Parts: sequence; structure tokens; C-alpha cells
Amino acid sequence: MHLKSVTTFFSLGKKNLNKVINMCVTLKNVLKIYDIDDHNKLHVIQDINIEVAKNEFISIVGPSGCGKSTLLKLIAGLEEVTCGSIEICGKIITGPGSDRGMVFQSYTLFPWLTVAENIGFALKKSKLSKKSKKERILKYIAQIGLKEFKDAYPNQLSGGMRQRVAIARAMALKPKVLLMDEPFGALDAQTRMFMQELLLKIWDLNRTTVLFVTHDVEEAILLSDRIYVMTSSPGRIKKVLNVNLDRPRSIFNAQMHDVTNKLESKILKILYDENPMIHGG
Amino acid sequence: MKIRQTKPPSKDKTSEGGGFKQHTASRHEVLYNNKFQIKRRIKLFEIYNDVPVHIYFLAGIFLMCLLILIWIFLTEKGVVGEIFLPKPKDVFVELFKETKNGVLWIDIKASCYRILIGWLISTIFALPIGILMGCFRLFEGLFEPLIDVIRYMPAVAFIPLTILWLGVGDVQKFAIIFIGTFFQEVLMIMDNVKSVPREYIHVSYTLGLKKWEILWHVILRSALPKIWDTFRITIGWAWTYLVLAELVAADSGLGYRIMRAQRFLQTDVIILSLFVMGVLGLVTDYAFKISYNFLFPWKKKSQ
Repeated sequence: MHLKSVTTFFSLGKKNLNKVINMCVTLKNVLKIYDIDDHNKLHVIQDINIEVAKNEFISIVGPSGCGKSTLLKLIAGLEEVTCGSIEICGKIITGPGSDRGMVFQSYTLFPWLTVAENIGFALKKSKLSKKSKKERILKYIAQIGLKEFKDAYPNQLSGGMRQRVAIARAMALKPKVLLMDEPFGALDAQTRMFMQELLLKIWDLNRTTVLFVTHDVEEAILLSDRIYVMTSSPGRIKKVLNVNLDRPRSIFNAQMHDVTNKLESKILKILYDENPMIHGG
Repeated sequence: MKIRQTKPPSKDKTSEGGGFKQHTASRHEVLYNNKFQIKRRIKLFEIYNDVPVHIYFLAGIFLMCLLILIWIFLTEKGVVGEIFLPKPKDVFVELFKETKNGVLWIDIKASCYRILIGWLISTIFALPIGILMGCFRLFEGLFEPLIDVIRYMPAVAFIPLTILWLGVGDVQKFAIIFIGTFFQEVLMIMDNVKSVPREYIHVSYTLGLKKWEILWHVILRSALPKIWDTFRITIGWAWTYLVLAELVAADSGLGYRIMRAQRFLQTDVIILSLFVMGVLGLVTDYAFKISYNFLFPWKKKSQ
């Protein structure tokens, strides 16, 4: 357990003791079925059991169409589970809420608001004073390194910059879980590398629970403590792997490349074996 | 060209080292500029290519002048009879006469008043209904069949009925403008609202906003530029239906002026009224376009 979570553990008092010990995100036998028409039903995901402790960074890796994005939408409460339950800190979710922030693959900044206003939009309903709201906005703008672009409109920003603001906006409310749905999927390789570094830094600074969906195995290893490997039709969890790498991490950390390579080939083998194409599908 | 090519080497001999850099840079500049100018001249007829602003506007003025010249030629040479097409100068004389005795202002005032009120009534109904239809499938199902049926009934066909019900006053003009614009406007606003990216809604939910807050802060804000464009387009249609209503039964307005002029074969009055309508339409259009840039500065891609 991290030092930070130990201290919060004591500051919370007896009443909340159980909740802290409990998992932050718990999925129990989650099943999602889409009705295509009256006779055809599509099992998107099936038998999903995931447990995420507080301040853990979890990645979900799998081919496109394996239902990993649907999984995040279910946790966010944007879609309802067909069967099973999803708990956040011991409470079953019933719909979307500000305790679960989300970053999407597509650019979701509101184009009519500036960078600062976009981050401020998240704090619209919070009861903070005006001054502390402003301070928090500036704090996150500094963290994502966009101080000079504070008053720029999203239209004037590059794709990487927009995603940085989207991350800051999702974090501004200090959600219990941060859900990230392939946030760097639309970026070029160089920008993606820079964004991964930045995310590692921001995560070290803020330490929140993260569920990160990606199809990039290397990205998953670099960022996360644990990786859930999913396979498709129906989407289910094939394997759970721990990433035993020291933090703080960096792409340029030479020592970790050995472990990375081993893990990467292991995950790629699982994904390759599960590919329907080699079974004559 | 010759001077430019021969001069630098002589300079190069006199001042070595430091002078060399300067000279190559200026030569590159010259070459670049030459290339640039040649390129620009060719690319006037490139598909989707931008042209300099002044050429863009000159092209529009050129065509207008050409048409006026043809008009002058046809009337002055007597190719077309004066009853059918008046001389440009006669139209100008009529313009001065009507502005002096105030008839033109009365007509413009009467027409603008009807347009504004008629279009406002239509918009006051179209805006909330269109937004509801765009957001909730239930409201779409409720209104769309009815709107689709009435939409295909030409507004012109309602003129006799509206006269029977409402007389020939301003209220009847409002009714015709309403029938002509509302049913299109409401569907356009529905589409504007529907085109808001779904991700904006999803993100707003995860930021803890409630349904009605999303409707107000996100959907409306996001669709507003498109709705503004819808306003611009529908007010143009309001013009058409107003003049139609005025042509049939009215005692003032630009349409009425045209109708009366036809009876007395005053072709110059007809042409003048048409021009006035064109200019008024242009002014409204530009007013909407300028206010668009002012209201939605974030739409502009700068830097």
C-alpha cells in the first residue's frame, strides 16, 4: 500500500474504515447483451470480474470489438449492465456521477469554452469558493503544461493539447476513479509517447485510481500496475498480469525494458492465440 | 533579372565571409518571391484553391457591372420596349422621387414590420418545439407526422383561407409568414440539435450534470451557431411569403407597390421595388453573418 493511502486511511475515522479497506472498483459477474433485433442478441461482454484497489492503475488490453470500451461505459454508468453489479467504494452504481471521471478517445472539449473554462466547467456544480475554484483550475493547467494556452479555444489547440485538457477536466473534480477510453488512440506516435510520460507524471502527483483501456500493449505495460487481457466475441477476461516495475516510471528507463519485453511477448502470445483468424474464423 | 544575377558576385569579391551569407539569403528571397508570384497567378483556376480577397470581390463586382451594362445596352438601343424594361436612369429617378415623398419608407416600414413579427412568432414556436424534437424521440414522434403533412401544403394555398378567417390586415400576413416558415424551421432546428456530438453529452454526465443542465449548458450552447444559421435562412423565406401575401391583398408594403405598379404599367416602380427587396435581403444576411462572428468567436480558426 502506498504511503499516501495509509495516511488517508487514518484520517478518515472508524466509520469509513471498511470502505478504505474495500476495493475502489468492484465488478461482479458483469454481463452485457445488446439486442440486435427480436431474435438476435449480441453478448458484448460476459463473466467480467474485476477488483481495483484504491490508487491502482489498471489497464484493460484487447483487440478492437472485444467490448473494452463498453466495459468503461458501464462503469461510468452511461450504459446499464444486463446482469451482475458494479460497485464504487462499496456502493452499487445506478447511473453516471461525478465520482467517475472519463476521458474519451475523440476530442470532447467544449469548443465554445476556453481551456480554463473547460476545466472550470467540471467545477460548475461544486461548492468550492470562487477563489479555490480558480486556484484548482490553474493548478491543473500548470500540471498539463498549458499555462500559455489558458485562454485559447480548443479550435486553436493540437490533438495532444486537447487530450491534456480533457484529462485535467476529468481530474478537476477529484473523482474516485478516472476512466480512460483509449485517450491517446487518435494521436501520432511521437505525441502519444509524450502524453504517456505526462500521464505518468500527473498520476504521480495526484495518485488516483485509473482504469485505462487501450489496444497498445506497450502502453499498458508502461502505465499500469496490473493488466487485464481481454478476448473478443464474447468479450471476457483471459488473463490478469501484474507489472512489477518500480515507480516513478519513464519510457526512457532502460532497466525496465527487459521486463517490458517479456511481458509484451507474453500478452501478444495470448492475444494471438485467441485471434479467431487462426481458428479458421 | 540580369542585374540581380550579375550584381551579387561583384559584391562577393569585395567583401568576403560575412558578406557571403547576406548575399545568398537575399538571392534566395528573390528566387522565392519570383516563384511565389508565378505560382499565385496560375492557381486562380485550381480546384478548391483560395484566391486573394481583392480578386474575390472584384469578380463579384465585375459580373454585376456586366449585367448593368447589358441592361443599359438593351434599353438605350431600344432592343426592348420601355414598358417591359425601363432604362436604368428612369429607375434612379423613381428612387429619388419615392425617397423624397416618403412612399418608399412607408412601404419598407410596413413590410419589415410584418416580416419581423411574423418570423418572430414562427421562431418563438419553432425553437422550443425543435429543441424538444431533437432531444427526445417521443416529441419527434408526436410532431413529425403532422409537420410533414402541413409542410407539403404550399403556403400560397392558404392565402384564400387566411383572408376568409383573418381579413386582409397585418394578422393575415403574419399567418402566411408563419405557415411558410414555421414547419421548415422547426425541422431544421431539430436537425441542428441532433447534430450535437454524443460524446459531449456523455462527458457532461460524467461531470455530474443533470439532464436539464446538459440540455441548457451543452446541447443548446453547442447547437446555437447552427440555429443562428437556420434563423438567417428562414428569415429569407419569410421575405418570399410576405411579398406573396402582399401581392394578393394589402394596402401597403413593397409587394403591394409592385401589384399597383403593374396595373398602371409602371415597370420602373416594379424594378425599383425588386431592387429594394434585394438590398434589404442582403443587409439582413450580412447582419446575421457579422453577428455570427461576433457571437461565436470560438468558431474562428486563428493562428
